Parts: sequence; C-alpha cells; structure tokens
Amino acid sequence: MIIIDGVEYDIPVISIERTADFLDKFAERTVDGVLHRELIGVYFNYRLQLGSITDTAVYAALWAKLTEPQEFHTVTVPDESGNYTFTAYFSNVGDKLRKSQGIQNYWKGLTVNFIARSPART
Amino acid sequence: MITKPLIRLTVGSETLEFSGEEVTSATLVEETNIIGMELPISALEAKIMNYDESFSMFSGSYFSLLSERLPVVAYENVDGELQFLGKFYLSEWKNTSEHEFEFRAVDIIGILDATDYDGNFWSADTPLGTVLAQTFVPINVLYTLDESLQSVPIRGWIPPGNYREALQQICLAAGAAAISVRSDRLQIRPVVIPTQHFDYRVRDTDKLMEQSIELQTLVTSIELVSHNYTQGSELEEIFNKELEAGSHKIIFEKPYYNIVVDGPGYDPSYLVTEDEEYIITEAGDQIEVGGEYVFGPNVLYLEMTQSGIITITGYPWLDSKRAYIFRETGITEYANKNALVVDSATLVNMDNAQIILDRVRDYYRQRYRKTITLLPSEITLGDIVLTRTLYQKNILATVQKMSTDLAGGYLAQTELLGIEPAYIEPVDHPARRARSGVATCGADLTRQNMFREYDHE
Repeated sequence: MIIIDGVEYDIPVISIERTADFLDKFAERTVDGVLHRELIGVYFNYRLQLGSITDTAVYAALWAKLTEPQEFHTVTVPDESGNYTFTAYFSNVGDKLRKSQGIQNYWKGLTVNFIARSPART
Repeated sequence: MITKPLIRLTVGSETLEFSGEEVTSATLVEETNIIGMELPISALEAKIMNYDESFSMFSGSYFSLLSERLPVVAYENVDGELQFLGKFYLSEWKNTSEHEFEFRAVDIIGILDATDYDGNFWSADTPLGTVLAQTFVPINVLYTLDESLQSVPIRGWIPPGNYREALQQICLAAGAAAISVRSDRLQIRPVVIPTQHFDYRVRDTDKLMEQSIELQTLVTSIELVSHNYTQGSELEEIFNKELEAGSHKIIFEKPYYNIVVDGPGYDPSYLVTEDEEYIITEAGDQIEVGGEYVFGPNVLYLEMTQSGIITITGYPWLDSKRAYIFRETGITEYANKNALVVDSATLVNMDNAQIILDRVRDYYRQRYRKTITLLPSEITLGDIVLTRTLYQKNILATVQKMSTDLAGGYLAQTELLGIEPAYIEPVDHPARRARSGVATCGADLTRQNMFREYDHE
C-alpha cells in the first residue's frame, strides 16, 4: 500500500530502498589540505519496486498518477516509526509487459524514485 | 557556518524581502582601481524564485515600477548575524520563467555614470572637501571623505560629461580612492599602495587550492600631461542662436570668464515697495527693472517667455599643457615598449603633476596579479593583504576585485594586485643579551628573539 496525494493505491510493495543524500552549498579544500563545506541539508530519497496486480483499473490509476505532468506530489512511505510523509517529485518511472490476455495487458516490475523536494534534516 | 543572502527591494511604499531558498543565485561583483585610473562599477546580480504573480511582466503590479532605479539593499546572513553588503540601484530586470526572475543592480558609481555633469572650473586652489560638496551635494549623493584628504588642493577644469568621469578626475588628482560597497554611502579614502604594511594576512587555511599568479606587462614609460589655465585676452563668441520660448540650458565646452549674455531669458526683477509688495501699473502689470541671468557651474539657464536671439561672449581660460615623463630604469634593449599616456586628466596641474606621476608609477610597478578564493572573511575591497604564493614567495597586494557567491557559501573569488615585499635581511651579528632579571606576569619572554634581527648596535 502506498499513498500519493492522499490517495491509497492497493498494490503490493516488493522493495523500498532508502538513501540519505547530503547536499552541499560548497565543499572545497583550502591550501593546507583541509576540507571546508557548508551543508544545505540531508535529503531522504526512496526507490520503490511494486508488485503485479490483476486489477487493471487500480494499476492504470497508479500509472496515471506516477506519470502525471505535475512538479511535485505528497507521498507517504514507511519509516522506523510508521509512516513518513514528504513532498517529492517522481523520476525513472518504468515497468514491463507481463502478459496480454484478450484486450487486457498486465504489467510487472513497476519502479519509481521519489526524490525529496526539501531536506529532511538541516 | 550557515550563510544565506538577504535582499531587500523597495518598490514604491513597499519593501520586498527575498532570502534563503527564494534566492537561487546571487553574486556580488565589487571592483576598484585605487588610484582612479578607472572607476569601475560594482554590481549585484541575483535570481529569485517567486510564485507571486505581481512580478509578471504582463499582469504584475510591480513590473511597471521595476523599470525605475529602485534601491536594493543586500546583506549576507552569517550564522544569524547580518553583514551589510551595500546599497545598489536596479538597472536590469527580466522574467526568465514564470516563477523566476533575475535582476542586476549597480552601485552609486553606476548611477553617477548615467547622470549628466555640466562641468566645472576651479581657477584657484580649492580644498577637496569644498569641491566634493559643490559636485555631489546638489545631486544628493551621500559620501564620506577621509579627514586627511579634506584640504587637498584641487585646481583646474572638469569638462561636461557624466558624474562618474568627474569623480574619476577628482580621485586621480587628489590621490583618493572611491569605494561604494559595504556602506550606504560613497567612501572617499586616501590611496594606499602596498609597500610594507598590511591589513590582513591570508593564510593557507583561509583560501582554496587554486591560486594562479600572473605577471603584468611592465609599463616602460608614463607621460602625464598637466593642464595650466591662464586668462586669454581675446573675446570669443560662445553662443549666438535664436532660441524658442521655453527653458534652455547652455553648457560651455571650455572654461570662460567675464561672460556677457545679450538677449531675453534672464530672471526679471520688479519694482517692489518697502514691504516687498509688487508695484503695478494701472493696467495691472508689474514694473520690470532689468534682471539677472541664472548661471550654474559652467552653465547658463534661460527661461524664455518668447523666442529671441541669445548671444554669449566671454574670455577663455587658455590651457597650456606640459608633459611630465617617467621612464622605467633597467629596461633591456629588446623589452617591449609599453607606454602609458594620460593626457585628459584636466585637474592635473604643475603643482600636483609630479606627485600624481609618482603615484601612477608606483601603481604600475605592482606587477603581480593573483587570484584566490577566500572563505568567508572580513576582507573587503581596497584592503592590503599579505599572502603566500607559488615558489614559497609572499606577495603584498591590494584587493582590486571580489566576486562573492552569496548563495553558494559566501566564497569570494578575489583578485589581488601587488608586489613581492622586500625581505629585511637579518644583521650580521645580532645582539645577544642574557635573559636575566625577574619575569613579570604577562611579560613576553620570547620578545628578544622575535625582534633580534632589528637590533643594531
């Protein structure tokens, strides 16, 4: 189950990878060899791999949301103490065809990256 | 250390404030030429992310006002403490996307560059303080003048042009440097060319890795032309033309004395009673009894109620020029000739020419131009710094230019121009004195060694 812009999508989550990325204003060494930096913040970014479902309507709604031409979305993902909600943009959305049955097409291997808009920690 | 810019823009009665994440980039470029051979304009350039439609070029309420020279005040917030960077004036503004705009604001020197100057002539030595007041008070330019420069004598002519050129002429003649940034007013300071002393030592811990250095081309000779004005005896016709009704301003292209104006356009005087009431005729007209023309420095103002021929005659101040020449010594026969000629500095006269020539010579003898990037520091434009350079050498140099990234950590790419400082050799037989006696609390017991090389006996 994932929640995007307040809507729950009933689709199994196969894996969630989380990275904490440090973004600097600058990181430079002075002549004496010492590194100086000014940190902007730490961004929590997520990579999700979602499972297959037979309900093509739910799948299509999720695909439509993930590919919506909108700058940012509110997403809720799990963390240590329940859920973590943040504003993110989507990147590298992709899947592949599992099978075709009549007029229905079933997809698998849906992946998406949630890239945080603002730092989680400053 | 946490740094972020804060930019305040005054639009009409509102003050708009942009800070932190709204400012996607902001660069402050400060530049000076300490002897006044040029008078560079410093500028603030910034890109602002903003979702307020008031900034739209088509429907926004602010945009029409943004074509004016609105005041922009910039600060850098360093760990919660605001550092004042200067006051600027909007010069360019554009929408780069629907949610982003960028602008450029120039310092007061940029404003002076765009302001017409009528010219002025000082026939006798006039203190710098008076010259600056006569020049800048009428246009409401705030400045501070260093006390040591207050009575420097100025004599000569500044031709019509703009106020930036006028300031440059004054600075070159007076041995003054004009610096506009890090203050809300123009600062007129004495020229200091590095010789021995420095304001700051820039250590290896204060500057980033790259530190290129280049050797400026040697100036092999300098010719400075002085302008000495004497009263000419031949009457000249300065102006003779029919002017339409309205306001006119006639600027003189060279200095004149005993100017005589013939024609309408004067400020009329009328007969008045002891109580200063106008005396009027039966027809209700005031009784005109002549009047006076309104002169400004190097300019005549005319208020014409009807068209008429204006004739202006006067005697010119004749400019007799004399060149003062410096030739660099020790130049090889094959060295490239790099001659500098300064012939349009019209405040240079026979009394100050040699001093100015010496100053220009000393300035161009500074041949090491070094670029370093400084971590956030208190160093500003015009400061003299001592820093280590390549080949284990030091240079003693003036900060000529700083390009500070206000949104990228407050790092300042800094251009220095200076000399290799003279090394003071230790004496052959330094005096050795026994350390004896009673050490008092706070006494520096190493003093003797620190200053040994200067002890001559």
